[in-house]
Amino acid sequence: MSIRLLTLLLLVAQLTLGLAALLVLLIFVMHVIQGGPFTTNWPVSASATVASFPLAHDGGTIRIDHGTLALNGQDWRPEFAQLVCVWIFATGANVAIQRLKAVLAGVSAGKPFDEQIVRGLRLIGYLLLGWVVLDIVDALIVQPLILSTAQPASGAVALGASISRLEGVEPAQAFRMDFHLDFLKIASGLFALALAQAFAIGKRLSDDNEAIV
Amino acid sequence: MPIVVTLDVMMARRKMPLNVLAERVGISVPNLSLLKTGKVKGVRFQTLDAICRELACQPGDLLEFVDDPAAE
Repeated sequence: MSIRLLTLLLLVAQLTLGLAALLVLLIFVMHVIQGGPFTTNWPVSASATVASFPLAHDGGTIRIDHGTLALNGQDWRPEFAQLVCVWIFATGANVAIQRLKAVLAGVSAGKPFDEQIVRGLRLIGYLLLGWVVLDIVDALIVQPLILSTAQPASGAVALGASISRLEGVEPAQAFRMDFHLDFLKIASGLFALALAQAFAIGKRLSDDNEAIV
Repeated sequence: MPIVVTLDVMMARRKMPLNVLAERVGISVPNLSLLKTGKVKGVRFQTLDAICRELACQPGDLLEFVDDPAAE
């Protein structure tokens, strides 16, 4: 795959990310203007179950479909929290893609051992590790916000956090919000940092070589 | 650095211009200029060999050790 094609794909990814983030913002603004209901989505540990149940005190509804929980409630905070997380992710991803494009441009220009490339790769590594932290923060903020809103009207249905024990309900009616650490992101971040270190060593060797006649 | 390059002295003695020596040694004029002014980290034996051959001198005629306790 040529570097020009890769750069083009990165540009497409950047545009897609920007549009998606803008769309999420517009949807939230529309929900605010309409006065609700606000929607939030989160993965749940329920395989192919499709269920829909109302919330207590006419607070809205929850729909669980193929491992995804869709909350339709009057509380704006879960959707807002998710919007903030989406925007933080989109900003980080945009910076990472921008740096990756600069790295590719440097490599294609025949200057792989440039200080800018080393710094770019290092930043990409930190951003990938930051993505894992963002996932954790997202789970720590959005999960409790959804759970504080989503109180099922019927006692026969239970919804809990990913580490909760749901007792007293049928196993088919117990839904646990899903969360797991993505080790691929951690490995990718560490790999980018190692690559940055290798390029930094390469730059030092290149500088030394240039200073010897 | 306590190593002082005295290439300019030897070039003046042999009346050898920079561009001529650079061409004969096989390195660029800017690189030879950097070597002459002592702004390099190292010299390859290959380069030293070619310079000594062209200037008919010893490596000791091109490099000098000057002990400078203040630099340490």
